[in-house]
Amino acid sequence: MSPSLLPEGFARGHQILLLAGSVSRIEDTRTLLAREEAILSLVEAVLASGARIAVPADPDLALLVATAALSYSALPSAEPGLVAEPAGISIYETQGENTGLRRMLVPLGRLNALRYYDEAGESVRLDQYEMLHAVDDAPRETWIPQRLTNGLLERVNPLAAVVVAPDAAIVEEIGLVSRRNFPFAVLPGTGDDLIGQRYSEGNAFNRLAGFIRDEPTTPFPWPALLQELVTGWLSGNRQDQRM
Amino acid sequence: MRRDVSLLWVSTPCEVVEEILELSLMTGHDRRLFISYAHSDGHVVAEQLFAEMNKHRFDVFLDRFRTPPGTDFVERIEDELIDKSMVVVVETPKSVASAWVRHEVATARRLRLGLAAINDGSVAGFTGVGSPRRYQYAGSFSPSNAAEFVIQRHREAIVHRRLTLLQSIQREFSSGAPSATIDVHGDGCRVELADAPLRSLELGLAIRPATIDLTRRTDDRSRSRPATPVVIHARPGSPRRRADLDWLMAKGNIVQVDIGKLREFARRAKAGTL
Repeated sequence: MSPSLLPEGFARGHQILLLAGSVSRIEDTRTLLAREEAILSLVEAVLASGARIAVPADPDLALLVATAALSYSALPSAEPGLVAEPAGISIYETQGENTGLRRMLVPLGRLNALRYYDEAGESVRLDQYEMLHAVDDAPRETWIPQRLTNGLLERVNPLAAVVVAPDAAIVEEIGLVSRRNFPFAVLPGTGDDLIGQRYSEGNAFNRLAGFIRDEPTTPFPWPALLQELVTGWLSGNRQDQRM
Repeated sequence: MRRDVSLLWVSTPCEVVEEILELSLMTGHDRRLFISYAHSDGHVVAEQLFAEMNKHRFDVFLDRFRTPPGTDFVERIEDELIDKSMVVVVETPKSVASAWVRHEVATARRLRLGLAAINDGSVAGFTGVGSPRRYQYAGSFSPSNAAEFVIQRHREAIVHRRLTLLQSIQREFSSGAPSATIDVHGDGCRVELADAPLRSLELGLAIRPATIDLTRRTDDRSRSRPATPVVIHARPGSPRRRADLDWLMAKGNIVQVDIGKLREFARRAKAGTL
């Protein structure tokens, strides 16, 4: 469907930061499915609008969002000198080089699904790495998530942030986000809701949590909710930004 | 002959979940299950599960013919999974060390397929699967217990994902003018808008890339009861598949809506500017 209801190109250059707690702390299928659906719906809402998603180098999250971004990637150009714009996923290392993750993402990089940055903020060409066929020889830290830092927040300068599946391991990261002057949403029903409730200013948690109270037995309409949230942020609607 | 049944809900799509589930499971498309495993240390469990799931009338596909990953292996994984409804991964030391299997798990999640893992406790499984989707056993493997677990995860995933999309449709069409009546059926729903330029919409809904079958049925429905045919789906990752679907939709004058533009679509439909 085109053109967009919002002015063409309005979202270009805007980045939404995505953080996610670990799958390993989730103990029921419903929450697990909600976590996954929320992440996919956010990727679809943001990339369909033309904006970008930034994630720290958390291997599980990075692989999922980069795979989802394939739906929005352009075919690499066959003509020399012509470079297709990569889909709107940017993955940032914050705690040193993760060679295993870089090698794992090579095939997605070749399909223009993502951009990858090292800790210093330099763009990394993934096609310089050999594709990972097995992780036997990869260091153990390959699958340990790298964390959000103040330095990354400075570099990314996101328009807004979304936290999926809040848990104790990412409380500090949520704290970093909440102290910044941009809107954010800790998504309820995807992790430990007690953590989401701790933050009020700038957090869309309470409005979204209304759905749990109103419809306690049904899954959240994540595609609609996140498109509403993202559109509000991108169009500069302060009402939607600060709920 | 395919049955064409409509269901009407009063306040929430939950009222018709069981009926939708039964209808969808009758189509066969939601009974296609893919078992991912490493042959060297997972074939015994994979083959026992294959036989057991067949008894439960699932079409089961074993990943026997894997070749070494090449540059196009991500597209090949999408090709092998795109018409399945569920992936079961047999977690063994070899499979969890395989980049191919790891990408299969990521693709299954991206396509919103059901996902389950079978694990004998000898190896830490894939991070993204999560313990609620992992059947962990110690000692001898019981195919019937594992099949029961897989079937439960399969049902939960289908119901959850379809409801999520239906709830989203309801949310977008039930707020603001014009008012809408939503009539749910096995493939999606029909939306009747009161006093709007486009009064009737026939929505084919897919939580993953639309199939030709869904597209045809949506088109058939829109002809038997005149309506604007619309297919709402998640776009394929492969540019080739995207081009094929674009061509098909254009030939059939079917409005194709990316799931990421659901809200924009609803607004345009209400305004009569599709």
